[in-house]
Amino acid sequence: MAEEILLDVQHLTHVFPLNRRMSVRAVDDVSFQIRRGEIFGLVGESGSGKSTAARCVMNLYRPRSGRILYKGIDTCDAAAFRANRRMLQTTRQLIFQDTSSSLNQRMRVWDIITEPLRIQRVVPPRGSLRAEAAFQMHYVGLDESFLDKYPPELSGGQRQRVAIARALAMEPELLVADEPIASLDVSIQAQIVNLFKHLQQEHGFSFLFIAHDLAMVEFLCDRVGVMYRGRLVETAPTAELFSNPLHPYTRALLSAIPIPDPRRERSRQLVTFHGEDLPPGGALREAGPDHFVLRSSGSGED
Amino acid sequence: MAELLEVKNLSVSFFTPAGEVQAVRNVSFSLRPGEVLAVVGESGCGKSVLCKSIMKLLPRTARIQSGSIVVNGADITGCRERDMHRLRGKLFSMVFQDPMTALNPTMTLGAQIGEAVRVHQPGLSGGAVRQRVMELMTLVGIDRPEERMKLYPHNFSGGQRQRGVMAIALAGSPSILFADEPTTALDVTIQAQILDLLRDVQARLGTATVFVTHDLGVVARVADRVAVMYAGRIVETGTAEEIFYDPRHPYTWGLLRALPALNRGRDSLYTIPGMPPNLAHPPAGDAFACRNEYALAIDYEEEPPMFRVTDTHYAATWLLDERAPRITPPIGGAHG
Repeated sequence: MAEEILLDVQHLTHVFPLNRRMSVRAVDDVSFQIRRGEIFGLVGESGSGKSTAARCVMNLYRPRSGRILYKGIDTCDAAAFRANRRMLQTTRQLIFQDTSSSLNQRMRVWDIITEPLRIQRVVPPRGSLRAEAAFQMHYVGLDESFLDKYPPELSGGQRQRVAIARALAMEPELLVADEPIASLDVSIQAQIVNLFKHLQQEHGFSFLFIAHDLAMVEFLCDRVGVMYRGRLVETAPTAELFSNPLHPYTRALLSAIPIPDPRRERSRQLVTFHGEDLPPGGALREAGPDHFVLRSSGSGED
Repeated sequence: MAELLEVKNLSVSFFTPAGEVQAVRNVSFSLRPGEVLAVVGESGCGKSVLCKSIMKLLPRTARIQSGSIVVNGADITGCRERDMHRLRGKLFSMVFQDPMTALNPTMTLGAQIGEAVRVHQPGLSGGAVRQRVMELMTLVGIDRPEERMKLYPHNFSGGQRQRGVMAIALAGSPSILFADEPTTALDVTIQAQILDLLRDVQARLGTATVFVTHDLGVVARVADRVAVMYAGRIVETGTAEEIFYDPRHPYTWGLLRALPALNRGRDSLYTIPGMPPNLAHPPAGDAFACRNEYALAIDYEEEPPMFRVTDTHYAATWLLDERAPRITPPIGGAHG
């Protein structure tokens, strides 16, 4: 394919030990790819392993097995990581859900935004650190009057913009956003989602966008992966996934999207999906162009 | 029909070092038995304060400035804490947003529900309390209650915990249930289940529910009536059908237009420009005027009264005045 693959996750497995005997397979044999300039959405209920997968991608967790290739470099390989440390640490950035804990409450906004520059000893391309912070603020739609404020003085949407500005300060290529809009108001969610879309279309950023709000995912993402209990059960281009969901869990998930229309909403039937319905094992099979579904090894077409 | 709860011209202020903050301004609404009223608005619009002031759970810095709260024909506006204590749980109870902080992590779920049952029915024997706890757990859809009542909150998933919180809230068989963003912390699938549960409980027990949320999308499923709040005021109220199919207030238009479901195929989502006003210094005139693309000159000078659209549908916008120019609403009408 002509498009360059920016991130290639292959058979990623991460296990959290609970005690000597028990452990949780938080991410189990998950493979997906993100192409350059693409927004890839990862959806699933809480505890399905989507955040764990994101943290593995960002080298915050060391996976039990599997490979994560970023621009062809195996980020889990210590030697390869050391050799490309600077590139890996600057071109991948993470945005968290809860800005009241991901931003230091005792630092001013411009300090927060330029901290990565100081850590990486980057000479600010726009003269001074303050000018750099002001530039990034404009980029995310905040004006300079916020530069000397502290995070608690800002609203949730403004804080999330500061967190995005901090991530953008390093001029990254891949942004990993872990439920960046889950704790925001609907109208603010729309602003942040528009900002992401703008960053992708105008500036060619690639995103790994994690969310449980499917309506937003449908609007924002190019391709979507659905996770359930640590497994990737289905992945497809957004339009294809929403019009032709094949896995029963995807169908259950899609049936739960609220419709802002009382008459249709009240007649909407919820599709339920039980964990027992998901047989262990199986592999992703191609069901259509770029559309993959988890099928257990024995079963045929449903 | 007799009103179960009637709030008239309620104003609540917080007294902070920075001055008086008018969190709720001149709010009136009523609730009939067995009805679900959704209160919708952005964070900071006063919707939680409204619930808490009815239950008298406000911090000391807050005071009810004016207005009255009448429940079952009795005025409780001036009730002292001792009297309120008796009313809470029986007359009304509350479900909070975050089920993790609402539950005690060191007590089993059964013990916590049992505690609520004992408070409301002090004479009950141990076996009868157990029986009632299992009944409540079944009611809120926690299956195998005999086993589950011995488990701690951390053994449960978010949705199950929220069910537990609801069991506690329902222990005193309240006539009014306040649900303050009960599904915001939950996933879509679980959210739909909890909404169905709310609806089911309300239908079975006849409990009137005040459902507080910032997401108009979830309201369509549960609400009989909707009240849209902005900057401490109710700006539009009507039946769910009226609000979704024939919204009249520009703020309601904005909230609906921001929903991604109504933006399919568009390049960007609609956003309401600007920020909500600071309620320490509310602007003169309509608080929404500076964010309102349909604002009229009078909006900056005088606050609009509630204009009647139908007997159940009212909206506070000068656009409904007979002298106002006719504009085509950007939304609504299409489904009707």
